[in-house]
Amino acid sequence: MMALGKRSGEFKIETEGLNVWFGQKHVVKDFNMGIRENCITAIMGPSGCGKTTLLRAFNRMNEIIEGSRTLGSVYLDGEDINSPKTDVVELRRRIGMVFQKPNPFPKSIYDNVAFGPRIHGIRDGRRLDEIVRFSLEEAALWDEVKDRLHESALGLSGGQQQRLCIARALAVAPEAILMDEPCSALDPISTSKIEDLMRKLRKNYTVVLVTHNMQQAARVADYTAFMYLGELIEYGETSRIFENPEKELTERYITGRFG
Amino acid sequence: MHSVLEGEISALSKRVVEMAELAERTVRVSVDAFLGGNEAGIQLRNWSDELRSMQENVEGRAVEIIARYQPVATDLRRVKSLMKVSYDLSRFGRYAYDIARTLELMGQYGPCELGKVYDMASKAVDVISASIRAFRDEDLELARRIDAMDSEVDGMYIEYVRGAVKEPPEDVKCLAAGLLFARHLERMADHAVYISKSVIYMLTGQVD
Repeated sequence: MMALGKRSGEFKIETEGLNVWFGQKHVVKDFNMGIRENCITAIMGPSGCGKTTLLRAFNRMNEIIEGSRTLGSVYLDGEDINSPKTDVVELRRRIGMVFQKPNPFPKSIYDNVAFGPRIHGIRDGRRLDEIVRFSLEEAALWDEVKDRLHESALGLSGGQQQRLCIARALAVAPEAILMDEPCSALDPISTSKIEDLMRKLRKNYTVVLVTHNMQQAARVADYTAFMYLGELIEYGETSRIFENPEKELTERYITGRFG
Repeated sequence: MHSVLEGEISALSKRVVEMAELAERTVRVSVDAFLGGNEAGIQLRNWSDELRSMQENVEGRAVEIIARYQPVATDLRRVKSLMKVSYDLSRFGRYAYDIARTLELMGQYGPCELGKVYDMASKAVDVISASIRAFRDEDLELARRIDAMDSEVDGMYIEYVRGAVKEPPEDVKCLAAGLLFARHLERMADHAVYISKSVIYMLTGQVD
């Protein structure tokens, strides 16, 4: 049995005694968890268990929600991201995010991908071209869109839009990518493309995936965490979690004998 | 029933328990026929064929369950174990038939002085029955004892073979028949161990 959890420098992202409240509601409870670099880590659990909130704690997205309160630490490469010294814009460049519903800007494909780099001060046209191409290639979308880069992103299919959003996240050269149910609005073929992409991305990025699709966690994740009512119930190698979970609660959840 | 998947697995389980009953009967009839010098070849061939076709059926249903329900955790381990156990049970049938074929293979012989092979046969049948009981009753304690029981069978096998070669019976057919019989028993006892390992895996997730 792997013991995952304590801060030891071997993790890309690590939480220590992390708690998040929204008003009176205690959404994430005393979380100690380490996310390994260049791995896909899936967080699964029933709706409302706090998994999205946990994910959003990794790049301080919760603080834009009124009434939210965070206690405890989140470390990125060993440094506490909640420290007052943290540059939040830089933090969100280093830890990108992809959401449940594809949300391209109502702009061209090119401008969607170039948006982040431009905000970060890149103006040179050739440099931008390179970034756009690299990001679209990384997101396995380049071949499909290379001849219509200046057409609206809204003309793409749902699956293509989601890969565009991934390309947009990659354009600012992040180290980790947080994916919140990235396939739940997609058909099986688009889903399988995104899953292939995740497997490819983990070579260069750390991927954290929130999903309530257990089979998706089983297919793509190297490590899987099961979360319930804000608590980390079990966390370990995906194959073990799905073959021989240690906790009764995990067993009941993944076998559908819940509640 | 809690879910469709549970219903499917429980039906599959029932099927394998039926197989186990037939397999045990097949082994007992085969051993008794050999030791008593009775002809049971046709009956054993039919049972062996039946076990084989039941095993294919179990395998097909197990694959269907995996494809349709993607079982995980206990469910997954159960389906995998049922597939494996059904294979081991079909091997019991096949070896039982092979024992019956000894007579057919070599023509009339004997009566032979089989000596120590009697003890080995009774021990092997005990191991096989115990493995089937451990499976049917999901008896972890019993399953964990099977390996040691099999070691006794192995010891008796080696002792028998050495003895038979050292002081061979006059009729060479008796020597060959005794050796083949002992060999099949030894293989069956190995499959009893595989069954016990599947039971342990099914119940605990542990592989040893």
